[in-house]
Amino acid sequence: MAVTGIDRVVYGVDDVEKARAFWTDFGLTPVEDGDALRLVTVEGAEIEIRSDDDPSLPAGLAEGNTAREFIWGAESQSDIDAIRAELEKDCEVRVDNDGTIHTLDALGYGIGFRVTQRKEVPVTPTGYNAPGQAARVNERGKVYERAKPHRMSHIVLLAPDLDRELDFYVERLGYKVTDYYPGRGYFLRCGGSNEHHNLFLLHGGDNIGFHHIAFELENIHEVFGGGLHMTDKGWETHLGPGRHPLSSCYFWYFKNPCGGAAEYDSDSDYITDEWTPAEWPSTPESFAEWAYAEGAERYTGIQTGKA
Amino acid sequence: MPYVGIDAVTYGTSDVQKGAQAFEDFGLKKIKSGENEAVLETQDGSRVIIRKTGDKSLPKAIQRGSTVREITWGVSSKADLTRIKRELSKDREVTEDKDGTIHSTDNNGLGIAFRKSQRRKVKPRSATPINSPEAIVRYDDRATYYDKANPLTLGHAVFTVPSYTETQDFYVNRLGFFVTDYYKGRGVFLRCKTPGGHHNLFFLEDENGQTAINHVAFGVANTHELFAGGISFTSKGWKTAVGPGRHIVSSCYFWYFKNPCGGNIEYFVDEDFCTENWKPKHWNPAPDMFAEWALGDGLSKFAGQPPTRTKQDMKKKQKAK
Repeated sequence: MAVTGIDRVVYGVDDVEKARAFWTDFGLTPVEDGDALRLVTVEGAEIEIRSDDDPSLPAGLAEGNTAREFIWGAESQSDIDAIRAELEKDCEVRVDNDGTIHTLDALGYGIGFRVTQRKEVPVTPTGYNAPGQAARVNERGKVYERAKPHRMSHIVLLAPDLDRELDFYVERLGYKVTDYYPGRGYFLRCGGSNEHHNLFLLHGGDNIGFHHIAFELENIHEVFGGGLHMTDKGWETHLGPGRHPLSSCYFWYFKNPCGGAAEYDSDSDYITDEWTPAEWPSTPESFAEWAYAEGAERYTGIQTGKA
Repeated sequence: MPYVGIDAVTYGTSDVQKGAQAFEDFGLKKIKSGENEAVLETQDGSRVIIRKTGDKSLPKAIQRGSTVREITWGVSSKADLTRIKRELSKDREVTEDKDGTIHSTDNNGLGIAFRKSQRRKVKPRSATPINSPEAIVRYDDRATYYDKANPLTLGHAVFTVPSYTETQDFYVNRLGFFVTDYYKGRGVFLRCKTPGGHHNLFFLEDENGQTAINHVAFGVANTHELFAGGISFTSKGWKTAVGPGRHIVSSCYFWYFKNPCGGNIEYFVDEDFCTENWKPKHWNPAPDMFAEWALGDGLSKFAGQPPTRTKQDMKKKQKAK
């Protein structure tokens, strides 16, 4: 049952054109496919935008525009068959013509599984220099005009009944706990994934609904370059730039007109089965080493030129 | 190759103790601290020396008040010192200490000295492991978090001068420095060795013809240390001048602070590294060339509400108070 990561997230929105503008500025590439708008990452993971009254969509658990379905990718058809057999024990499972299976998770979030359509795309390692070490010789550091998200790294769901949701993903679908806030939040990676987390289940009191989605970039330079571009285009920062102690990522969150937030991140921990999950206290220090609340801006301060 | 780098920067200031405290909070190791002189060093042994403004042993000041009085360049061998002494003696006074250190002035009247370098090999010797998708170098290991910075080296000094071309002429033609980049019609970035870091000196032409210290910069290991170092330094009450941010020229991440000894002090990391094949560029001196981005007033530790705390928790906490 080796699920490897997120393949597609489907949003239901009241303004498809605004959604297109947001994700295009965010750095995804739009692809028209019949009645749906899709926008893809470098690896081929997709954001799908549908009108919020589209009858094919599962119910949204948050008010207004929100993510309605999360399609997970697995390695092979036999994985999909095994997941289907497990889910059919107590869930209603619908199968598409293309073989994607759809159901609802333990709390009613729309989910699906398909043979992954993401392709590994190699990344040129970033050369970082420091005193006494030259990894980048005769080459200026890369400055990004905008981001081009490499992969869809994780989603965050509010889980009022945390134990039930945890049991569903860990016991039934083979997701693994990487780190956790006892009783408050669990960072899960898919059984076939080495990312720090693909799914974060967050206990937010009685609240339920989609919280945010994150995309992994090549390096810190791209986090800043991408965030500056989003800010130039008028999109509002939710929080950032900043740095998380959990996952070690640099981050920058933007408010998303499709619902929740959309996050850039970079320098994520890489997890194998040798990793020991750690318990973290629910403190500000665990959430962020530092964070800028209002975003960074392009520099226009000191005039270095003669008038 | 004669030059190793800046071995020491000597300040003349009104309050030696305050200066020493600033550099200690900045992350330098205190070697000596008295009322009239303090000495602090980076990990590779490059030093900051702080003396009283009126100290007779100091070279003449380039400006009033607290400022840099002398830059000491470390060289590889005694033969280098002999050659530099011979060159400078052609048209200016050169004195020699008992230990062989030679002292003179540059074309702007700034004190310059040369000695056999006392710097040690810089640490760390392995690169910081930073992950990218499909380019993994850090397995099952969280990234490094710093409580404060501990600068590896003293990297460069920056001055405003009446003429950058005359200053370039002095350092390149008389002392053998290399041009790395230009601000068109405005300034020049020089490095003391090739291969070497992007600049050890930057001279910016001042419209009023003043010579003055702008800043002295210290190299740290990675962006993690730069951000954490700045947070720690400012939490001790020292003020941000500008930063954090990122320069276009040199590619460095930076964070500048006000220095009680004069000018600013800077943390930097990820500087371009230049060999003889580097091509100098004439940059347009516009603001967007100074920095890709910069925060004006620094950063502080995150003290907001983490998403793992609910509003109910916060209410409980308020009641408990």
